[in-house]
Amino acid sequence: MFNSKRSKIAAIVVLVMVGGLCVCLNFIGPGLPPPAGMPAWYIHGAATGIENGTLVKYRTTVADHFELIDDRKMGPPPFFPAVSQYCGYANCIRTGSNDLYLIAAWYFDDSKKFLQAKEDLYQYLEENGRVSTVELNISKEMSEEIKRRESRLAWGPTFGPKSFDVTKYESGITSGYFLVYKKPFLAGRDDYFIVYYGSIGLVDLSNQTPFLKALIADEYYLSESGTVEGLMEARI
Amino acid sequence: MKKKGIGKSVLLLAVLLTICISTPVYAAPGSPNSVSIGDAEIIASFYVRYIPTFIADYPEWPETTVKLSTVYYDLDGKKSAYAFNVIENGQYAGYILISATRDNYPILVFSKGRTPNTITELTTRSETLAQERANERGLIAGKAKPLYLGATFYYAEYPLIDARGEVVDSVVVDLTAPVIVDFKELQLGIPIDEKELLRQQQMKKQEANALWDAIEEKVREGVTAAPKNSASSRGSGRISDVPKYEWHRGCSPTAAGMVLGYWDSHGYPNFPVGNPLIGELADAMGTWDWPIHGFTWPLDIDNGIEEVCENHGYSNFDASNDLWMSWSEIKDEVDADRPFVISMLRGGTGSGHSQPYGEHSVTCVGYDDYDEDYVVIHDTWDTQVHTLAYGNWWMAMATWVMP
Repeated sequence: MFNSKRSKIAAIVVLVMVGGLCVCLNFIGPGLPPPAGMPAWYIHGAATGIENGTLVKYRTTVADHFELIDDRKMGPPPFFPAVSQYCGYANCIRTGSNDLYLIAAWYFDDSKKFLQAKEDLYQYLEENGRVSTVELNISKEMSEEIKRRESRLAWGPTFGPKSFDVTKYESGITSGYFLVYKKPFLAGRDDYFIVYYGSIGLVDLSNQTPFLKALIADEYYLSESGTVEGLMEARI
Repeated sequence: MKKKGIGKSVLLLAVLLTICISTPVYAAPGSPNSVSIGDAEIIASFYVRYIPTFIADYPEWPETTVKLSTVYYDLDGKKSAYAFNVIENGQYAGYILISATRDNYPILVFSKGRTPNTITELTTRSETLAQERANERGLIAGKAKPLYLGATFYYAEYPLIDARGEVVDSVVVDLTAPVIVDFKELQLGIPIDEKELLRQQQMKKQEANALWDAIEEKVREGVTAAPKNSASSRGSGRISDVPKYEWHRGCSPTAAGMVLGYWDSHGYPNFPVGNPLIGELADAMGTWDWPIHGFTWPLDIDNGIEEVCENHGYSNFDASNDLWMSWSEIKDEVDADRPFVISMLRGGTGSGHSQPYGEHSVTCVGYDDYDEDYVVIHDTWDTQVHTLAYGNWWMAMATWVMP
């Protein structure tokens, strides 16, 4: 096609210019993960790197007191119904103990699907354990978390309330708290998350609550427009 | 949903991830592609000494030895991986996982943490689950066989034994959950494009074989120096103290906020940090809140940065968009300790993520120039450091920021 060196160079220059124009003519953003990656927003992942084609995972500590077991997984969390195709979970162990924890998240970009999923999940919880609404105050844990973030030169939007209603769930398999984050990024975007922070096994939830509050604070993210509440309060 | 449904979903995920992330294991024991424990140990011993030459987080590993801890299998009963404990002065210091077949990458993962099958709490719970399932059927759960199916999928397979001592079935437990998964049901109805799958498998096999060849050559030569760089390279470069901001209002103002946040602590203390800084940048760049959310016109990124600098008394700052960013320019900026913004179209997947960046702005804080080139970035999706292969985008623009 290009029979001279000059025409080849010209073609390359044109291609590069067209490419540059493409950047100019496109908006950049919003720069959030696609729906399939959204559950990770509220689930701590392992610190990783790629070195010479090798996946490197660093030992990952969460909120100073927990160690992530391997890494987060994208897919249906155990113990609960798959109420969204966009979901993921991670397990961690509390340092110096054998206490296991589950952090699970389901994401929705559609308010109707979110409402239906919320109803389905709530029904499942009622059928399989004890459910109630309680107020959780994470002010102390958030202060500690913000200090941790500052020490790492890290910052994230934590504009929402630090005391809010959550759905408490207790069963023989897992017990913990469900939080619903609505529109955590921008008021105009439909983003809904159901996030579970729980202990695995038959536990006394009141003993585990301080640790679960630390886990909640670790991943707390809410812009000015967002809200956080329990499953029953979550109305669009 | 019943537990069966959960298991099905987990299996589907396992199968898909195994396809996407890891090369499926085909080699039968004793086949030319299988790797013996002895050969794997040689590779492991070599590699733990090699790791500190390119990762600063493992300075003590050159003094370590390795010891086989676990042989993992795949769903067909073939060996999939060997886990070696890394021992330092007689103490456990981490593990390294070596593939048991040349059809998969040689070094699967290494870490200072623990594999799920060595965490007592996980194995105890997994045994309990298996025994409960066995009890339901009047059987006994036998000794677990560890399974590794790639990526983060660690399972334990328990034989179910009847009163005559015969294995009549098995149960598989996801170790990290832990929860029982039903692989037999999951093998039904998974839509897979077989042609595409075959193509991916062939490609992965070729890549894996090339990596095996390369590492075996290094072992033969006894090379434990830093990975070989290209003639023009200068190894790794990092800018320390660049803040890590999570996404707020838009990726471009967030990424630019990290750049100015860096300068705030490096001689230009008038800048606000965090939310006020990002908000000011978003306003200056004209980042849209409505009707399209969080979008920024790329040519406004440099102007927005300069406007914010001037607002705080720094008219000397020069921000400029560069549509033809080169690898050498990236390295020059990092070496000069000047973080900058990279805005990309169809950006690829950063380390630690499962989804691509797409149209996204990130803050570049470093580079790795080895056999392959990587930019080191703060990507606004969390507060960790990530890497992205240089060129793993359709188009990219740099916004250089120089005081």
